[in-house]
Amino acid sequence: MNDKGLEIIGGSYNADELYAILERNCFLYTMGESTTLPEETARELMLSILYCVRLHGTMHPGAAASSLRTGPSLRAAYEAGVEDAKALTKRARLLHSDASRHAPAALIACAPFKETLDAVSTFFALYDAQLFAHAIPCELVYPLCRPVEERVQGIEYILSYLRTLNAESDILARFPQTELANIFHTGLGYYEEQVVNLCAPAVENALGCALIGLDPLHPGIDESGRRELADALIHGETAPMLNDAAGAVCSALHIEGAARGLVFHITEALAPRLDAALSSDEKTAALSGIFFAQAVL
Amino acid sequence: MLDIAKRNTEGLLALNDYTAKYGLTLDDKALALVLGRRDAALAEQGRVEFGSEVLKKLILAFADSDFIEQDTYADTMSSLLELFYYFKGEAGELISDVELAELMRSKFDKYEGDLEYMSGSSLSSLVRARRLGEDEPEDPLDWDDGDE
Repeated sequence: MNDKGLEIIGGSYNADELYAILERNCFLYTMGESTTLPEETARELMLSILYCVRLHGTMHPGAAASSLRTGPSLRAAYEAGVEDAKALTKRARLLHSDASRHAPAALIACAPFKETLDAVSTFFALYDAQLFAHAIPCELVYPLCRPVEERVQGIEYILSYLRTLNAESDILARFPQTELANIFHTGLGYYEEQVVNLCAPAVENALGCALIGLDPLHPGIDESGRRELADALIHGETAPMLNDAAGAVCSALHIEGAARGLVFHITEALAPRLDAALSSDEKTAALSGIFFAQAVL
Repeated sequence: MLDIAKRNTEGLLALNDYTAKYGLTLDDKALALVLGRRDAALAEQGRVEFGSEVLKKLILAFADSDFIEQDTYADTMSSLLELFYYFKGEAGELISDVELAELMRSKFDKYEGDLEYMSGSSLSSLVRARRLGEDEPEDPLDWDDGDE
């Protein structure tokens, strides 16, 4: 930052304006009781301002351009960004509500999933769009099959997380839940307490079924199925075969939209694991670490 | 930014009108010295400050003390600033600017302007107690009170 101005999202703003917002936020943070802060706190307050300005520019590129034409005002952009963060928080609350109400039984049984829903509630209680908009004041323990990028901050992170979580939930809900739990127990052990993603193994099993002509809706694959899979994969090209299988899984389970994108993401990530398993001397055994059978009851 | 710094300096020099009645003033040179030590103290304590409110509060809180003299005024204010930032952190940010300035002033007078004694003993214990939410310790200078 220099004395004349600073560049934020392509606009040039007066550094005095930024200082004034920071000073004001310091006053709000300390409730007017202190004019001095630890550097770390001041840095977080500053990052929050920059986050809000960037958020506003991202959400309303037209408005940001107009603001530049009429004379850039950092305060206006910041205040609009705070309102944007609050609006996204409302949207995230709806997604959280969906995640809580529509989760399938296999996911509800999973302790890390429940902990995560509670953590998101904590987020809403602690999130401060005005002073710490870039912060994520909670820990989301349930791992997604496609993690949110680390550079994503604040309410955007929570939104992105919940969107993916709901897409995973949508996929899992399409399988018979008892069969799904059964497969998880076979392949993952007592999955209810483990910090593991559940969507990926379910989709992987469905892909395996589709590859050997079984119904992906009932995704258990026993030893003979794995043997058949090894044969099929060895005599073909893994990536295109998997791609076709992903399409078949989506059709069979009526998976569309964001959930469909996740199926193809899981499919892409599966290819190198399958290649590694198929290069093993014990192909069928190696595949048992990917494709799980229904437990014999 | 330069405008802000200029306004802060002007605000501090304006306090001379008030402190002059106690025989205390800071000229431009002395003020620059104090602000230089302020900046160094902030850096050392890992803190930032908006404006120069702390120095203003300390000047106003200490101006009528019997234990500050013009000869050492700038040096004393610099030392008080250093102690202020140190104790602000020690208190875990749980003490307001005004409250800390008042505490320092009361201990400063009690220890007759001896900054080393003031900071080393009772003020330190007091601030630590505040952070830990404990009862405030008795000042050693008060131990003999009521014994006779």
